[in-house]
Amino acid sequence: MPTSDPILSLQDVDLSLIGNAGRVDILHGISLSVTAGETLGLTGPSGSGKSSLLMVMGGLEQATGGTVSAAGHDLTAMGEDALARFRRAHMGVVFQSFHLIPTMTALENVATPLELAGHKDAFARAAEELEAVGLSHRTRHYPAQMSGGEQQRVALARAAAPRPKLLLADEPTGNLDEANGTAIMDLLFGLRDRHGATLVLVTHAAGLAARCDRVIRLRDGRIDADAAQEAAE
Amino acid sequence: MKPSGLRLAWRFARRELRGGVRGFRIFLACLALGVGVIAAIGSVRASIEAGLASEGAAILGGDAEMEFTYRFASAAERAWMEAAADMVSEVAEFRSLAVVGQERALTQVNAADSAYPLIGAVALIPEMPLQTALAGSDGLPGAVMERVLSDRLGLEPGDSFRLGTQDFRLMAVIAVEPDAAASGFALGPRTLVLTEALRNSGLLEPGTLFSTKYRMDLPAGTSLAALEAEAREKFEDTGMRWTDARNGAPGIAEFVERLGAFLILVGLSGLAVGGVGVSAAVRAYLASKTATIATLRTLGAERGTIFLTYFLQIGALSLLGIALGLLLGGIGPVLLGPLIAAQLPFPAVFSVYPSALAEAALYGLLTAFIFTLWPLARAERIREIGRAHV
Repeated sequence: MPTSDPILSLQDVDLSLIGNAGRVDILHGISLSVTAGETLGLTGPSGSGKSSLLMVMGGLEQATGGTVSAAGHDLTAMGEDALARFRRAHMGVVFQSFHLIPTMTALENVATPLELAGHKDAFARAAEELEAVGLSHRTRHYPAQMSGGEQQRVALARAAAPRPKLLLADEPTGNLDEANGTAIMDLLFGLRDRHGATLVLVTHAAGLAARCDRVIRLRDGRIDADAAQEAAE
Repeated sequence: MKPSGLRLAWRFARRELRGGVRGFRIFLACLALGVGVIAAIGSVRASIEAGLASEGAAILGGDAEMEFTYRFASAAERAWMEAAADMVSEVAEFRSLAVVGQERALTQVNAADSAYPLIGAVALIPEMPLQTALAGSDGLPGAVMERVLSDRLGLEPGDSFRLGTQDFRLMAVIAVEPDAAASGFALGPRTLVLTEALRNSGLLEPGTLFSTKYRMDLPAGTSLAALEAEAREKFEDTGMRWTDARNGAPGIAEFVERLGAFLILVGLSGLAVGGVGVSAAVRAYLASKTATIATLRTLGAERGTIFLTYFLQIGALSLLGIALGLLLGGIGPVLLGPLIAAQLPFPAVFSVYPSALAEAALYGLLTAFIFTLWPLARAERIREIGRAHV
């Protein structure tokens, strides 16, 4: 359940990228705060900056302006290795396209963040996580030998295995059919409840967003609506 | 990098290597061929060097040799040699013209004594003992010469020819001359006669250009180094030159050394060109691993872990390529040894020479290191999963 402590805080965050076509402004003056244990849904049309905002929250993209604090760390002041250490200590990320490592088995994929964090019982814990997502019979299978739904369950187990304070999910059901999508969301919310993590979820689906404690709608890189704020007001 | 970090990187590397060598065939071929060529050249060179070392005495015609220019050994020198050796053989060498009527041909004359050759044997056609041939017939001293010279002069065994003012009878042509390799460069084909027979030829008089070589058959267990030191000390200012079985054919050894160095350079050039292929293969491999690297970065892998993971993978594959090359370059000359030996005018002992293989492995490692370091350094700069990957 949410507490009043902010675990994630963004102040006047801008994100601009330089591409072949020149400079593209993606996020404009985003300020928000997420309390520990909260579930936050990020919605909005394609190109509104939802995924980019999630990446900035996870230190996967560096904000070009403003400050981003997570779990007491100023992400905008950290180098790449410091951010990597921060992620393995505090953060789990689930992507739409799974991003499992093809040469590793399901068990090894889940154990990887634990091994990186130096856990000696990495494989025992990974096996528990796979059991929690109903894949104890698939531990030795490689991603290519599993269905999309199974791969996403492995990705969920991998994100949850280090017991992160922050769970970031970028359209985790985007590549799945409805039945698998629902199962994945049940698992995701179940894991969040079990570990008490803060969940930030990017989704197009209004039904999924409705399961979150709070929903922020983005448009053209700006916050268009903040359901919790509006409710509070 | 902590030991635990190294272990972790090796664990990740092993998992990545499960994909096999697919995509690394060019990498392996470039490295294996380059290393194989250098290993083969080094092995052949070592084989020849071993052959020269083991057959040094036979090539030299004795365990040790003292050489003088324009003179025979003095009585003191001769006495010292006879005291040190079981047997001493004297050979005088000079260039002269072999004359048959109006035909003249330059020849390298070896005038030997009856003890020649101390080691090995001269084979003649038609077959006969050397001393019998050199004894001559019908009142003329005998001579034997290389086939190319007898053909040039139109001589057949039994015919006569002249050296200086002395007539000789050609008794046979030389098929095998054991010390031919040690004589090094000669201006003309060789003619072999007895020194005694030249007494009236006017060719070995004071002021003529000749050199003398005294081959010594030493008692077993004689220290060549100690004997050389003693000879050099005793005859320091006499112009004496020393050669012994440790390096019986210095000319050939130097030639082989230089040729080997040149061929190694050729092999290195090949390896360098192959290095471009190695580098391209690593770049292509790492490009195919961008998603995996980005995932590892997202999960919390530091740059050092990423570098080490792929460094160990490429290192393991490099070792595989180098091992294949060493197998090719090490075993190849041994298998082809009889064929190569038949083409060489000097002895060679074909075997597996660890020093030659180590040299090739070192060049292979350096090439792999130099040509993979840059693409590997770029791998650690691959960022975590961002907008481009989702």
